[in-house]
Amino acid sequence: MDPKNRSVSAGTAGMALAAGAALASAAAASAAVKPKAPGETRVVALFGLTERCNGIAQEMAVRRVFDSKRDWRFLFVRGARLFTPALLRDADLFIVCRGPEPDPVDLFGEDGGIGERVVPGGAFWTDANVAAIRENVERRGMGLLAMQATVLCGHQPFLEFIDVAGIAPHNPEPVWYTRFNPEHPITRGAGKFAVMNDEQPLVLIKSPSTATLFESTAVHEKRQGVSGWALERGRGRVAGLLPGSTGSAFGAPEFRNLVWRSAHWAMRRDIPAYPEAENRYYTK
Amino acid sequence: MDRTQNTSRRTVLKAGLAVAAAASLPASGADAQTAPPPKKPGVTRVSAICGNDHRVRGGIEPIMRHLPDSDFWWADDYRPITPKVIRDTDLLVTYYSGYMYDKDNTAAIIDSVRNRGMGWICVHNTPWFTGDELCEFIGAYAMLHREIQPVAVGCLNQEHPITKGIEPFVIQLDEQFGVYLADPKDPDLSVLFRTQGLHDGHSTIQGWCVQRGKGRIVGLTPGHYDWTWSEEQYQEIFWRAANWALNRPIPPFYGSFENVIW
Repeated sequence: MDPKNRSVSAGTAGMALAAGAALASAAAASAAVKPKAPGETRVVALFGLTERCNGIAQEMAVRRVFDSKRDWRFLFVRGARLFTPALLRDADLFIVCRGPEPDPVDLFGEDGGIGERVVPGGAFWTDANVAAIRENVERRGMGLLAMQATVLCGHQPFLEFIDVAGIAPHNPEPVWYTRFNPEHPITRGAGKFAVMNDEQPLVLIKSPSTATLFESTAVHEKRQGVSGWALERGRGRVAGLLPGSTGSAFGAPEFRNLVWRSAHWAMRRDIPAYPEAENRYYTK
Repeated sequence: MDRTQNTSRRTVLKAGLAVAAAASLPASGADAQTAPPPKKPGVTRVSAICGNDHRVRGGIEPIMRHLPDSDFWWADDYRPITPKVIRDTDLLVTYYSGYMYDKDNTAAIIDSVRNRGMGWICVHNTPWFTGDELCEFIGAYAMLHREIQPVAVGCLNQEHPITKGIEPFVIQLDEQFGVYLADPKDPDLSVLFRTQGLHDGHSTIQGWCVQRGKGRIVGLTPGHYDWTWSEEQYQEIFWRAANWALNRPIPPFYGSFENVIW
């Protein structure tokens, strides 16, 4: 190894350790967030960084969807341990895409990002966090966008809140998204589309008042079920979108349009046209 | 597109496919199928020249049997095919069929379509075998398929009676034979649909139709496997194509979409 590079690495390691120490606690991380500015739309998001979910890829994809929203501020919580209910206090929308298990690695733990051993991270699906989500949705009108592995969180009160039972995906395969609800504002005008490689978690909707947004078919095994739904809870709204375990899904403009429309709908906003909206399987 | 380069590659591959097709022919002339009897007055003769392929026959024959007053003849091999057989045909359906396109049969097909109004449905790999004269006539040159993969059928032409109202759907596995249009500005040609390979993302035209004189030709290149033929949407497209090619009003599809999931 080049000694010069080694020197740089050592320096980087020192900085990383310092940064890790600075963000050692959830309270410190939460406190580091700037207060909400007048007119700001605040979106808090938590994706998984697990052995199956590439939360960084998902974060970058979601950020790109809303690239044109200059007055929206996105706060991605990159470790479950760093999440506190205080983060939701003035959020307009919470996007959660998180399976049941705790973070397998605490990226911001004592090793400061350069790890010789695995330091497990924290769990997200605690009663306190779920209570905070429910309260902010029902009483304050915060929008909730529940994505992908969230339906497998295993937290029964939360699943009752979003009104579904989750069904685990099988292996990733081509998935065809179909049977769009033409009446619902989220899916009005949405066209069928394919994702080359996606996991296909599904849901069983519990209440007749909850709207089915669309279904999916796993092309190889022809497994069919509901992949999108929406409901109202108190003053707030909940939308569920299950595509998106891979970057392939976010490569589909049809899916990005659904994310865009769901976010606006969940916040009770007018839904402007998504700048990159396209129904590729309908274009002449 | 570099037509010369593609023709060269096509020639090489066609040679291999022709060998495979020859292997399916009966071993001796004594086993050969005989030509069909002359059609009876008032009967619509459908001649399906598609080789001895149970998958394709199992897909096409049930659809054609719904045509009223039709006389469906399936050619197991190509030796009975003569200009006389072609001139007695109202709707020609082809698949493989490489050996039939000699000079006389080619002339009979062009004459029958143009002057007599014979319909022609070019199924799956037909453009690989027809030769350049017929490729120009049908309005399309063949594009070889890539891997066998799931194929999404979309961009269905909502202004054409063959595809109007049909929603996008997926074929679980197929050879995605595409085509290059001979003349994309041909005023008598309509693209019916495009497809996308779900593994490699390859997009191409797999459905088109063209008017030639009194006759109508439809190209439908999905259909390598049974699964394609089991898709109700594709059955309906084929049903409509047969009626359109026969220059008839298109009756409602006989099938049901109640259990369609795509």
